[in-house]
Amino acid sequence: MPSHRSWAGSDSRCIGRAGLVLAAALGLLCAGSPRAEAQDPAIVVTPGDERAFHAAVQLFKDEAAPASAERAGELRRLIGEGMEYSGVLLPLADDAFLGEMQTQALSGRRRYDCADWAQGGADALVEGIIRRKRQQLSVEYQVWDTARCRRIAEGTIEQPDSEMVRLGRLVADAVVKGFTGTAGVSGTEIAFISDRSGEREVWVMDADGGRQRAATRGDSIKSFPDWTPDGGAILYTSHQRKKQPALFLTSRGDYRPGPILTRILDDRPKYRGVFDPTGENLALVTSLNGAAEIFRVDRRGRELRRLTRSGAIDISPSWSPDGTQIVFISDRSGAPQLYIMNDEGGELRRLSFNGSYNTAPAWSPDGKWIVYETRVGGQFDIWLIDPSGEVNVPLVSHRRSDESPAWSPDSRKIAFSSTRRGKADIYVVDVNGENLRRLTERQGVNLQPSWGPFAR
Amino acid sequence: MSAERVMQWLDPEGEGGLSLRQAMLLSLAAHLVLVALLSLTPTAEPIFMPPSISIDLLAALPSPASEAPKPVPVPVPVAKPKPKPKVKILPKQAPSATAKPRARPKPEPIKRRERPKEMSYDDALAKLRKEIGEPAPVVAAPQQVAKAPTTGAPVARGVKISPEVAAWMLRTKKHIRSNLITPLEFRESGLVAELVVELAADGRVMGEPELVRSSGNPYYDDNAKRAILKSSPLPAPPKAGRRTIIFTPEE
Repeated sequence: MPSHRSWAGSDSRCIGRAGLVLAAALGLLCAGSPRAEAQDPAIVVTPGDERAFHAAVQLFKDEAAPASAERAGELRRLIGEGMEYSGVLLPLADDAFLGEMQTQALSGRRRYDCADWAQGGADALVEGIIRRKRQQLSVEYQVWDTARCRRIAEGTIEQPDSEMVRLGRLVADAVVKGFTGTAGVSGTEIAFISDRSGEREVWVMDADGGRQRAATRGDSIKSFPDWTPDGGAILYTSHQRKKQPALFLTSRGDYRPGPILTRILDDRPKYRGVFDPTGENLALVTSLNGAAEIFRVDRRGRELRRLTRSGAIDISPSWSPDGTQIVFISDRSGAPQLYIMNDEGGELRRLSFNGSYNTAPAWSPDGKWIVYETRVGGQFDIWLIDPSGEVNVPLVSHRRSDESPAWSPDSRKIAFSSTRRGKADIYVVDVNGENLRRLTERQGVNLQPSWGPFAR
Repeated sequence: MSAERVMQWLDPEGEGGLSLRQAMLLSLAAHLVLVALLSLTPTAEPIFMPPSISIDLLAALPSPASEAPKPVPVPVPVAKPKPKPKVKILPKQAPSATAKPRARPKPEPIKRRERPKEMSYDDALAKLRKEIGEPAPVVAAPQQVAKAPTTGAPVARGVKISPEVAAWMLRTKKHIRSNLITPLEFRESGLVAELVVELAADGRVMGEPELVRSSGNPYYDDNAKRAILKSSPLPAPPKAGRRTIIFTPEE
């Protein structure tokens, strides 16, 4: 077997070169791994400060009709903005370009100018061609790793002319995926509640705060928006006068908009619904005997199952990414605290033991953290706790309240609402507490963000 | 017997001059003493180095899987007003443990030539860091020190390397690190990639680094290769050949 010969060769080489004094130690080295020189210790490199790659984004060759002098430049700007939003890649400045500014043709299997690009500080080169297909803009792109001179991502994205912003963001997110394996989130959307048009309605905006538009309209008060996992619809709670709170869907595709789960618990208020990661089931908060309890039900209203039976208030469910556990809030201990149970209501354990008022938990898509709000004095701050409860750290703190945290699908960012500038607005912050930015501009009250899935 | 007196003895015109036989005997005796002193003078000891030298651990979001082994409840200050940083960045780091000044011993009235103490690994490392201008590592606060990753990496204590090699290793690590870009998701514990590079005598990396142990995340592995290739040429090694480089988010 080749591998066997390789190991034997490695051993004999090591022992042959080593002195008797070092033989035992070198033997350990050789047996454990096919290291280069047994007597040479390994060099261990830990992370430095740099967190962002630099990408040289060319002006894509524009072959689409009708011809446009601005289209390629506009797309290039949008790609750069999308990369900056991710925080993983930054666009290389024009004056650092040591290669062609414009794509002449997409490279084949090999590039011959990688060293030039690397010399100019570009970790990545993004090239592409804009065409028109089926009345839409079609962008074919390639991403090159200049250090290894390898193509690490390629694809074609089609969008209507009116969706130029989305086109640029989708290319940017694909470039991020080429470097980290996880797509960027500049092409994602955030739903939230706003009263800027009168009643509290569901609104949707791009992840950077752009294109804010209403997703519902009516005379009821809406709350608790929650995306379906495929991004095709948003579930919300509608509070109409003289009626029980009920659950509705607003859709832009395959889902039928309107009320859902109308045949179950029809005499009881449905305070909130949260889809599981498959979109097939919901955690449903309703009221029994004067206390809020959590149920599980499939989206067609079948297989209703009660999960909490404490008689206390049990609210704010959030699913683990594998759908087997739910973190929620209960005041069964006398004060609202975080608890975790499995999807059958068993294996209950209390998660938080600090603070007198903890609420609004959200489980990160990568499963590593649960973000929640905790009352500090007279206002709320946002903290992170890991699912074992061993690590519990503050994320965002301000003398005004920060509330309702929601994860981006890549688990890199958290959206939340804050009254730090008066009326509540939606903000975004990186999971390490950096890059705080405001998304809404004091147009009414803006609350309860819910981050949609990766863009498709 | 002072040197001045010896000189007088050898001065044929000096006061109290000696005979040739006496001078020869004295010369022989002086040489014997000199040889004896030289033989007692300690030679330079090779610096004892462990198989790896680590660069300081930087602030990163603590990974749940690698946090302190015991629960570290962080109390929520409820009653007392607290300072309000706009955004807290985690985790905080403790002051350097290596910054503690050493007490200087009092000078003794009689200078005595002593055998120098064996240089410890820490002292050697500190000396080398000082020589190449690298700051001392910052030690994380006890409650936020991550567990050492259980990587199964071979451990070979007791390997002796020369100060020249140790200094080159530190320079090389610093150089690669300056070219290593580490997004948040690559700072998680447990991501350890081991690569072997072929180095030319002038430090150029020959060919693509060979991945001998994957982290399990191909993007992390590729990023390690990228950092090495971006760093080429490395500082010229003491000897051309293959070297092992390990990338890990923590010490």
